[in-house]
Amino acid sequence: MVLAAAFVVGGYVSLLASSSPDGLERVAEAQGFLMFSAQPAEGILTDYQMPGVDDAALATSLAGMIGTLFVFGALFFLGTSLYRIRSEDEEGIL
Amino acid sequence: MHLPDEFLSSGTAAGFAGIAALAVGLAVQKVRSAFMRKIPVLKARLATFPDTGASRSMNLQNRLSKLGQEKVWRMAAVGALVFSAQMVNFPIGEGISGHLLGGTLAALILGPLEALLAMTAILVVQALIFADGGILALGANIFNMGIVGAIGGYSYFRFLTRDSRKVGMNFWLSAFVAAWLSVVFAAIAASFEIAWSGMKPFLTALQAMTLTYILIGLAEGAITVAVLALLYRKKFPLETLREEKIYAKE
Repeated sequence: MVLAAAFVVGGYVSLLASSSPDGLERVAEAQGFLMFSAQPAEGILTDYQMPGVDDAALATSLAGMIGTLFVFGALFFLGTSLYRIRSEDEEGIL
Repeated sequence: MHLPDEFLSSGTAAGFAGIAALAVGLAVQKVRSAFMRKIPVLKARLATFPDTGASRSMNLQNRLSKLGQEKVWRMAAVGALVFSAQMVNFPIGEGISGHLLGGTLAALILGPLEALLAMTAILVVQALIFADGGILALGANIFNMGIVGAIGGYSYFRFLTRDSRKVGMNFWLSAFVAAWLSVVFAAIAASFEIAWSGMKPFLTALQAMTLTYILIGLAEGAITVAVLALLYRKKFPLETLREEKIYAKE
């Protein structure tokens, strides 16, 4: 249920997001040190836009859902691998 | 709130990376023992004729407990939710927006250390895939949003409710205030990092950051209470309401 909500928020509600700079960016801008990060950062899905998709809304939606999936996958893998490491140790002893 | 690499000097970034690595490492260890359950297993050994008992000696084996499996699912799902909620920037004034940090929310749902792991996963995905927050600045961001945000928020909540597990006005008010405080303190931590990096004098950075995030924190508090209330009504198990100790001492 929570996971489903996460996908809805990432895929749909994220479209309603304000595009204004966030608090930190705004402070940096106002105080004149945002230019230090003038060059656009290189990322695969920079600015939460799926590259190669013309429709901006679809691009955001896809990026949101991919990100949600990645976070879920990473945590699930972490959670289950914590278990695996320990049980292998034990088998080694036996 | 995600610091890009350019805002931090390498010394500051490295220092916070060290602190974050240590904290996350400790959290992994603690959370792992909370997920596990020791079960006795018969050791398979050759029997000896004068029975020494060696053939029947018991061995404790660690298994992921049923509760642990549920916790893994919950941690991953809540992490995913906080990630997607962070995408939703809400306007708080002319040309300025804020978004949920979600550390306190995650901590109240999952427990503080699970929340730290969830926040770490979120920040790593954001830095690596979305270029939101620098890769070198990851340590500082984990410190601000994971340690100050999640563990800090959880502690303020515990302090404010005086460790009570009753759900009443005080519960919701404490959740609101704890979430708000966690954001303000995260902003203060970010100001320290910016000042240490020689970007701005401390007081200038502090003033601008605190004023901005006092506002954003109000929204953080409101969202935190709203999501908690929804989960509470749906009978989602909230870690804050559990009576037993979350982390077993090993």
